[in-house]
Amino acid sequence: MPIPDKLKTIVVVMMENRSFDHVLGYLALPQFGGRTDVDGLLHSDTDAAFANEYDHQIYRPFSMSDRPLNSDLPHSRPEVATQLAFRGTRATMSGFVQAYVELTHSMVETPPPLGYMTPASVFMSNFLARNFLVCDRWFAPVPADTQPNRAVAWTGCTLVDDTKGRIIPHRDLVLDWLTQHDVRWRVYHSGLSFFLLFGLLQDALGDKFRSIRSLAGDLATDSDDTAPQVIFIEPEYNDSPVHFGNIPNDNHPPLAIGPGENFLRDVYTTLSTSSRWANTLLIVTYDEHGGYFDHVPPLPIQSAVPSGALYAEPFKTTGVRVPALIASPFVPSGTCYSGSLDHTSILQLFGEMFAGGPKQYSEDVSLRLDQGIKSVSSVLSKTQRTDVPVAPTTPVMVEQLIRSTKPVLNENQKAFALAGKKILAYDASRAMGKFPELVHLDTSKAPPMNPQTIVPDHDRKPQKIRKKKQTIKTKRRKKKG
Amino acid sequence: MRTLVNRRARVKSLAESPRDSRWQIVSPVSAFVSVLWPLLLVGCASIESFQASPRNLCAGDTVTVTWQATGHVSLDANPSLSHTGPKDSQGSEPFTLQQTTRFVLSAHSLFSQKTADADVMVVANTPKEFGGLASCDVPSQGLTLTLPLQDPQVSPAMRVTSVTNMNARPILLRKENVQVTLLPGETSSAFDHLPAQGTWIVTSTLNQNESCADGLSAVHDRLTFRIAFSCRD
Repeated sequence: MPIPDKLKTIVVVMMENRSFDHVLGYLALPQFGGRTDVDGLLHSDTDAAFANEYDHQIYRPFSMSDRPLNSDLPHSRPEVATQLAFRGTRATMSGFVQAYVELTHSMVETPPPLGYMTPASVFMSNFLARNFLVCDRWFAPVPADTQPNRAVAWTGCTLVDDTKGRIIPHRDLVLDWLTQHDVRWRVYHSGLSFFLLFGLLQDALGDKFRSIRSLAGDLATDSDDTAPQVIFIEPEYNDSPVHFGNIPNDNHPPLAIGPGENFLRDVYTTLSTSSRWANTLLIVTYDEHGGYFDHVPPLPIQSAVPSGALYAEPFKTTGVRVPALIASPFVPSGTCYSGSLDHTSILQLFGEMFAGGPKQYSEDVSLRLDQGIKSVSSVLSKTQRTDVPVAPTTPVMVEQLIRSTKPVLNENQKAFALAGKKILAYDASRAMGKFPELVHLDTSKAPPMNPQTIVPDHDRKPQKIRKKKQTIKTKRRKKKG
Repeated sequence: MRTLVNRRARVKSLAESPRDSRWQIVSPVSAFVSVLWPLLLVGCASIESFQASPRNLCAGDTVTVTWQATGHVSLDANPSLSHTGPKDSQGSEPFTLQQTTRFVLSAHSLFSQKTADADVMVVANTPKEFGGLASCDVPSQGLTLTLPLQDPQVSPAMRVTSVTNMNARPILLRKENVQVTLLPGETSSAFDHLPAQGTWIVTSTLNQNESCADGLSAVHDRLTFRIAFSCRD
């Protein structure tokens, strides 16, 4: 589908750790409207595809109220392998309870990985699904946890297959690609930005990284020549070890989902009430399934182990299906798109919009395209809607998990802490100004002020980027000539 | 380098003269062993295992709760039961149940806390679904699944009242010398009053020209059936 000329702004929101069935599977249930176009939880009480076995007993999806869980759910690469429960080349999707018991040693009648939300809990996702477009074949790109999946989302491939307390080794970051192609972009962050985990320092302290509180004002005051063409909006991450006023709202278990729904409402309302909405495409998706059950097997997408990777076993499939919602005047109301998509579908869209075609983003992204992964442009409609649905006004209130102490950090929290210390060591005053939550960071073990170690490759690239830009311009001139 | 040499010398001295209290105090190795390691052990709570067996039983049956954990351990029940509370880090405890109960094992320490839950269902007339991934080695034998239901799953007192085929194709269900063919969704009382414990065998023949792979794919690799229970008089 050609991209509508009037589409000027792409907004990407990537939440954390929920599966499609968990958030949007209810759409197919008769008691919630019974959408026949959405592959959800219809007949989940009888269909074998939904049966999860543990020790000969069968467990099935159940409606759960929104509340914090006792603990995070299993979703590392080996744990996902248990969940997918391959028989030959076929993922049976029958091992979610098994993985949960192995991790938590809890065996309950209603295992949390099989819990699903209903409209009362996911009021904003429900609103977007009813008024815009649902993608029911959007998969996390790899069957692993946060860092590998976000690496694919923002670079097109991953050099890691697990989540560790480190700066994530990676290939060219999407932000560099956009800069190289003269695309105006911004990151609006609620707290610490996930892009810090890719070693960003100079960019993160610059004008392109702004607090989410500036979004509404910027949308109102930016001129057409200065308004960003690509906007990344980030929630307050639960894995950030420090917060400044905001509560985590990225939906990462054990969090309740209500704060994340409120966050999505704020984002949608800000965008849809701005004068730029008529030319905007909002993509809401999740980095990976986070351990929650989904009944649709992953796609057989092969990805070779890239050079410099810290793992040896190549990924042979995508990860688990994740929720994805597209809100825009360029999508029809209350529809579903069932073509194969993953996070690189966003990068394909950038290739189409800013470099002339979906294969112009990178070789890694093209390899996925060749195996059937489509661009987000596939969901777009030629006709431009003029109605602007109004989001529900009553936010949900949910019980919050109160932690008195959190002395033991998980791996991604360690990565955030490390990234925070690095940016403080790089330029403390500007870092504090940009990310005030850093005042709470324990810097007693800050990394040394050795530029060799604190400035990662990523921030030594401006010259490289200028060179690439020049090459692109020369190519363009030659084409014109 | 100098420090390293000194440290090696100190470690060597310690090895040669283990009773020399001066070296035991100053050596980093002995300091780690004597002070830090116990602190670390105390500092990390963990749960290595937690089980309640059987998970389904009749009112008046006994469940055995077994655990292994690190840290200060406590076993609680909801609804509450006597003989719960602080426990050794490893052990097992029998409880007689009259109603469905959730057991919660907590292990806490200086730096962390872990909990694990185990539900035990007093089933009465509540049906339960059993099954698993089927196999199909020989097409003529069809899809098969053998299910040994023992103490971890059901108590000896539980009796069958009826069975229901939960698959989208006919199955043959066998236990001991009883067998019944069930259409999709069909319920039968052929096993009425038989103990739920024992080995259940589910088979489903392949259709004409259907391969094992196609047959397994058609049932999403699983065969399941539901049992409705009563309790021994």
